Amino acid sequence: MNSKRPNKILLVLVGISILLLALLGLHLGDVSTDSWDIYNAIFSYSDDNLSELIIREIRLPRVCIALIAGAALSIAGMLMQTLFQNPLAGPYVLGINSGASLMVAMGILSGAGFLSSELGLIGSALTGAFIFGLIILFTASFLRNQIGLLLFGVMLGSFVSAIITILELSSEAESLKAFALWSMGSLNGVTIEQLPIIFLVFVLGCIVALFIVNPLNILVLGEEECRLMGYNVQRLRLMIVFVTALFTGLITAFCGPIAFIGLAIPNLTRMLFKTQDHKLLLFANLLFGSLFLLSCDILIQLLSAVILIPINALTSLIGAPFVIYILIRKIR
Amino acid sequence: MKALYLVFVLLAVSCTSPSSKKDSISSINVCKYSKWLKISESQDAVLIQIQNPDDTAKIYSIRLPNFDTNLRRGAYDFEERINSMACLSSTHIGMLAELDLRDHIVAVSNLKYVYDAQLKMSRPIELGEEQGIDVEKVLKSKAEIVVYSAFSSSFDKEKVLKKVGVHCIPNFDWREIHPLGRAEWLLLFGYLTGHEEEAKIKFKEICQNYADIKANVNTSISIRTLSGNITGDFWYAPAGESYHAQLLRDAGLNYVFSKEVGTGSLSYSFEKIVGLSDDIDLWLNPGFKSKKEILQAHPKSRLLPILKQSSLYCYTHNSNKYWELSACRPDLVLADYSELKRGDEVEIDKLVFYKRVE
Repeated sequence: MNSKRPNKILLVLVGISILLLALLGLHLGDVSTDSWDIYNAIFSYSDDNLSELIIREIRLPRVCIALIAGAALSIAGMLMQTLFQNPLAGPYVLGINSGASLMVAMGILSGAGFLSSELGLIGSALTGAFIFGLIILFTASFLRNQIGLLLFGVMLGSFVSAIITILELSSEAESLKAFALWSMGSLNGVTIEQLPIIFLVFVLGCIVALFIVNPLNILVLGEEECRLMGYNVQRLRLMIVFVTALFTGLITAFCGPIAFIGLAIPNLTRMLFKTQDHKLLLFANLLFGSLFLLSCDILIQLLSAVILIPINALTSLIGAPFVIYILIRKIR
Repeated sequence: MKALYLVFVLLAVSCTSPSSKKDSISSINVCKYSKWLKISESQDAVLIQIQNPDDTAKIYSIRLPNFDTNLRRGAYDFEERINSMACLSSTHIGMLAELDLRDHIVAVSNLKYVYDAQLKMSRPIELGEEQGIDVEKVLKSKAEIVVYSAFSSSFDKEKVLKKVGVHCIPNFDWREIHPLGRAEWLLLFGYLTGHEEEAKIKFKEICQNYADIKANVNTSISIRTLSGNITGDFWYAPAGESYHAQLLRDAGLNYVFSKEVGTGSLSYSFEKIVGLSDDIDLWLNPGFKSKKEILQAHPKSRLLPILKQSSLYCYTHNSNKYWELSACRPDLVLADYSELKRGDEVEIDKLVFYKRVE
């Protein structure tokens, strides 16, 4: 009971930080706004007022998608790490992102009607993520070595890169530009109208994840233990892949690839909370992931007068050294 | 500075007779607008100097004889007129086409981006993008020189091409800040091919045409103009001292960023553009052919009030034409802009590069 208290305090502190940073995110920008503008933009919006328009249509979607994307990718990473019993697993490293990217690349670079439409891209990203998730799952059934599985993910990524390069060579300049920009990642593409659907899909994924926290707690002990406790391991694995693909595909479709969050945040939360309680880890990843991506976005806004940094580059700049640290710790 | 040119000219023609040295003393820079290209000529010789904008101490010099009168050998980089060249940028093709010398082009980067129909039909060899051109294909094309744009700081293939006897000449027309300075680079092609007189006449025509259009601009109307588009997370627009801003100024358009310092491009957050776009009369170069495409690529563009109006114009319906010809024909771009200044009375058929974004 005593050990749970600091955890709760930490989560509450993170929650408060998110709230404060979100307000800062709504306030930061080239057009000056005050607190009343933020209040009005959310609760009594009028598009005649420029400040309210900018907060509601530009800043609010960006802040909200930062929160959702950070949370979704972190939860996806946590699920992958538990499924493969590997702290270096994550949707980006294992190639699930690559699946989504490949399908989006085919949509954008081919310029084919439905595939390049908004709905087509979302569907493509989800399909790609799910197919690659299943490939990883199938491979993991006979490739038990942790490093071997990671290498397989890296190879999958290289394979996809090669296909994308070939597609790029035969594409029109406009499609190439669109794909290059998409691959940098961005939180600015999401509109206020798209937010409800993104939020709904995110909540759906979280509910499914909540349903499987108990078997996940057993899965960390081993599959045999999981079976002994009466859980259907095959179904559990499929559900993990489903939630991971749903989150990864959703975020990749709307924001482009965002690296390292799914790898770094679950490791950070395990280090901080020192627990295998997946209910706690789920909330911790949700909050820490949101906090991390929102902080990155605010940093980008603050630095924009000096240097322009795409979100994917910043998450990699911060996430990669952390992953190297985990690797060194693991080797020691 | 003139003294420096004289030193170069003297060095260049140092092995010529005393009489030709005397001629060289009277040489002056032929270029009036260009910042990075200088051409000095005497009776027997021509010295072309190309300065690197990123490292102004780096000067690429070309010594040419007067092809009509001077037949001495040994002192020049090229002793014969250039008859075949590889052009790695659209602007080079445009300049040669404008001089009716397209038959001198034996290789290009990519035929997909060539506008000139006659050149396309002659099927020049495709070498690939500048940094990765295929040296064997250059040899196969029998190009005597390769003209490159030096978009990155160095041209990697220069050393190996030099070893096999192919000269590489940088072209910094894209770094010029005056529209006529950019067009003036067609003199380079004129001198290299021995058609300098035709090039001078052509350039004079362009200058005259440009001056006439500028002089007839109606300065009583103020058209508040926005240029550029959103790429990724930021809005990129030409800076106030850039080539594009100069064209807008000369056309009498009131460019919103005309006071911003810089010769390159500016980057702003999208919300800043939304903040200033209330009273915009004209949006140039949104980067797409239709409003539908703009909205599809950037749904938040609907926040720009100008999108509801009809005064959006772009060249993207024929980008190849624009990139190939706009550098050497700034007078035509200026003519388009001065026509666009007429607001609702614009005669679309008169526009050379631009079309309304429907």
